[in-house]
Amino acid sequence: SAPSEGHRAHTARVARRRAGPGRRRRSGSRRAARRSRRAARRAEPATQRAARSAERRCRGVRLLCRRLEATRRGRHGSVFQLLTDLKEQRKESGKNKHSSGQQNLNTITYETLKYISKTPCRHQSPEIVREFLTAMKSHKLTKAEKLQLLNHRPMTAVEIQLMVEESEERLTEEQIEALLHTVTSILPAGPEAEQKKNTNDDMTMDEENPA
Amino acid sequence: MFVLVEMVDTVRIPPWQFERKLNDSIAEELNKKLANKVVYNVGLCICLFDITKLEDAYVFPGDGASHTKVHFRYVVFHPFLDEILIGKIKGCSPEGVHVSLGFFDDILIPPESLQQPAKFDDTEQVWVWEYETEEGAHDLYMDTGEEIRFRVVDESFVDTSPTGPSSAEATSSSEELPKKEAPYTLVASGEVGARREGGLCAPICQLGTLVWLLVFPKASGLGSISEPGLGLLSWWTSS
Repeated sequence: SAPSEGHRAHTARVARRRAGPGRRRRSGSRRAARRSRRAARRAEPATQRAARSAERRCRGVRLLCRRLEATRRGRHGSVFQLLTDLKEQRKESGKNKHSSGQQNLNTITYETLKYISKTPCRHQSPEIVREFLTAMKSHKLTKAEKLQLLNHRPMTAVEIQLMVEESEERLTEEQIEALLHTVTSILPAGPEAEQKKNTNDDMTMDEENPA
Repeated sequence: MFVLVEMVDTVRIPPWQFERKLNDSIAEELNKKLANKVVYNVGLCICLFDITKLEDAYVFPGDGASHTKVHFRYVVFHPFLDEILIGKIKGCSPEGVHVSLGFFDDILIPPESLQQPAKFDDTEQVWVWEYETEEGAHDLYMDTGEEIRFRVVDESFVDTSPTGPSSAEATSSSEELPKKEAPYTLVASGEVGARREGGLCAPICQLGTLVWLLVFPKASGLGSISEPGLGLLSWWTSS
């Protein structure tokens, strides 16, 4: 005769007890775990996920760190140009500027632009840089030194001494003066110097006006 | 200050972005992944410079997204050794002077590489350079918010990837929060190189020796301001 309901229930109960609590819903539990993990990942804000991977070394990113020549490397002016172009582009495209994934890019571009716009580099253009570098050929400076002169636009001999290694042995007083003259004449002045010049102009204009 | 770094990576584009141009989606994904992040032993990534090569995009079974291997160049902040930089003083502590560049904050000037003699004023929590001239000693304060010129002396990276659980330190770490370490710091030297033309004192102090400091275990930018020309800009500009 077919086993009765009670008997079937009894055998099922015995089987469950024998299998133990962990193994009862084996395949089902794996699926449930996967479901819960996926939900947790979706619930976690993108910034946290980004932060995790941010701090983590970029696995799978093979880095070929080849330092390019100094004229491409490090010039604040070219980075300024790049970041301003990027900002313009993103302003035009508009829609995804504020998504959480883009927040990092927004922060870093804003801060870097703010920093570079306070240096004398914001008025530099590729032509000015080329002119500067051809003028520098006669002074025999290393790439790193030319780069620093370009980035900082030194105006005094002490600054030149800082940026050029062993300047006392390599350059005479006249050469340092000539170098300063080249730097200040070719490279455009920084924003504070411009401001000072503007206030001076305003002052002279005021003096003329009442007359 | 900035370097172009060539990198290779595989970028995943989800299916709902297939209508966009591939280059744009890839640029956006790369920026999302790397902008404002420190890559170990490379530096702080700023933004994508360009994409040099795009290989074929593949769709793998089980995943509707396309995977593309991309060769690209990224603008990275990584100052070379002995580079002169200008930053703002963020604050002073007994460990030294903390300098910030706006987009990069972890620069420390340890007390040994400040202009000597320097002392720490506890009441105001600032470092002071006691400059001696014939007229007497002048105290030059390193106030917060002042612009300072410094030279990069050392840098160090710390791998902040999460470590696996270890039974030995399980008990200790459960009580205290894990210490947050900066992944990339610079150590600077700021020998006071105040440009002072005909000002208070003769600007050329003896070319002090740059103090080469020990590498801290954390990634830190060691700066030094112990040379003529380094230090607060106001010390060296003619007023």
